[in-house]
Amino acid sequence: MAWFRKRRRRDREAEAAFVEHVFSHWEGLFRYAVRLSGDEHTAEDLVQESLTKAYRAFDRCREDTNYRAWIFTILRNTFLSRARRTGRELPLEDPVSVADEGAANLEHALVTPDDGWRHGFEDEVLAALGELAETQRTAVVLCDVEGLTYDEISHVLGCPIGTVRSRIHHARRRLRATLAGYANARGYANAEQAG
Amino acid sequence: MPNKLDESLRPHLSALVDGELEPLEAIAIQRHVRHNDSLGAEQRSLEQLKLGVHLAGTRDDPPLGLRARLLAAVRSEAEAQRARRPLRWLWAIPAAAAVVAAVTFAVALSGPWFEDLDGAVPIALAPAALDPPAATERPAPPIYELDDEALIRLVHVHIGDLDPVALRDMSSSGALVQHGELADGFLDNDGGRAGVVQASFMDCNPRQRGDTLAVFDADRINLPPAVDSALEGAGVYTDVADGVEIRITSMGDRLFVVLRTSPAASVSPI
Repeated sequence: MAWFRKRRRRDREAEAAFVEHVFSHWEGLFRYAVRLSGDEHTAEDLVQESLTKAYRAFDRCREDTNYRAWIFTILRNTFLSRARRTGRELPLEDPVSVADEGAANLEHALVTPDDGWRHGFEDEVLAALGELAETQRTAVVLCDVEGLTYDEISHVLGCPIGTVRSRIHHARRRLRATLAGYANARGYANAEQAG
Repeated sequence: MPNKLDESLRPHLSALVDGELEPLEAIAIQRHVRHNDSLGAEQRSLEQLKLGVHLAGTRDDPPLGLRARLLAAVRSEAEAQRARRPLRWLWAIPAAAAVVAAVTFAVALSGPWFEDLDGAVPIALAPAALDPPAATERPAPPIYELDDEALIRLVHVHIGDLDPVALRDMSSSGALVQHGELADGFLDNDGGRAGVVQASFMDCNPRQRGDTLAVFDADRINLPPAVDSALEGAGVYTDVADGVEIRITSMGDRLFVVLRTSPAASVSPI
């Protein structure tokens, strides 16, 4: 029975290590999956499939693996594979940059105590994120929401750090343009400027 | 008119806000931004946008129970992986069988030979036949070692990785017996007797589902010390191997081994 115990202990240690290094990112994975797929049910499926895949491959990881970047990469690849299988169209290429209308000052929205306007603004931010190309959305969400470094994002997107920098720059220009329109339409940006 | 230097710096402001510039590069750009209202305003705007995206992205809590569901999925995968894991010693079974066959053959060839008077067919006599035991001595019943290896073999017959014929040595030793009358309360009601398949190389094949029940003649079984002490103490020994729950208990001269794929199922000890 000593053999059983030894093997069981090894299994328990592997599970504990997986939970500590990979599973601990489950909330971030879910948030990212929602931003990718657009709904919570699909997001939950995506996260579950990604974690299962990761568990299968976990014992083959090197000690210096960046588990956070690794699991987010698995999630994105799982999403892209599903999208290809289901024939869902993905705007994978970065769109042509829009003109920066960045004059709008968003401070008014962000420093105001929680109220209807702010909630509406957050909805607007999420909607604007959804309009970005998948690569730009991934870059911004992983950077601003999940706090990944450019190096980690370059791992997830499979591109050089310079490309990540460029994608984030263009994504933010686009977001600012969209949100400036929203703020202007409600007179907040004008009020700020007038003030 | 836009300054060329200012325009060349704009693409770097996002990286500056994210803290992703090299230190010297960051200092140089910050110094320039400090003296340029337009770049300063853009930097503040980017900081606000970053905060806005963060607040919006983390606003909604994940669904209730999601963590538990995901953890259960990972644990289920872990169990499945254990069940799929090949056993390293499996190669040894045919090898050991070949060695035993070779030794038997060699002994037969090297033994004393007698000519059958009626024909030319040689008859090999085992060495014991030359020196038969006294008429009063009775041969001791063979003892079967129900060790880790035997239990794992039983587990893999249960899973379906091994053909039930792998249990032949249990049966041929006389240790594995049929048991028609199961004690009430030994199995939980949900499982029911219909879901139990008695383990012998005949009865296990074909087996689609259900728990496996192996009944042994306790007098002919040697158990590992850990099992022995558990049976003497709590009366039940439990273990999990390759995703299969093993429960061992005894009653009278019978030793019962129940194998169950779902560890969640409960077995009430006698």
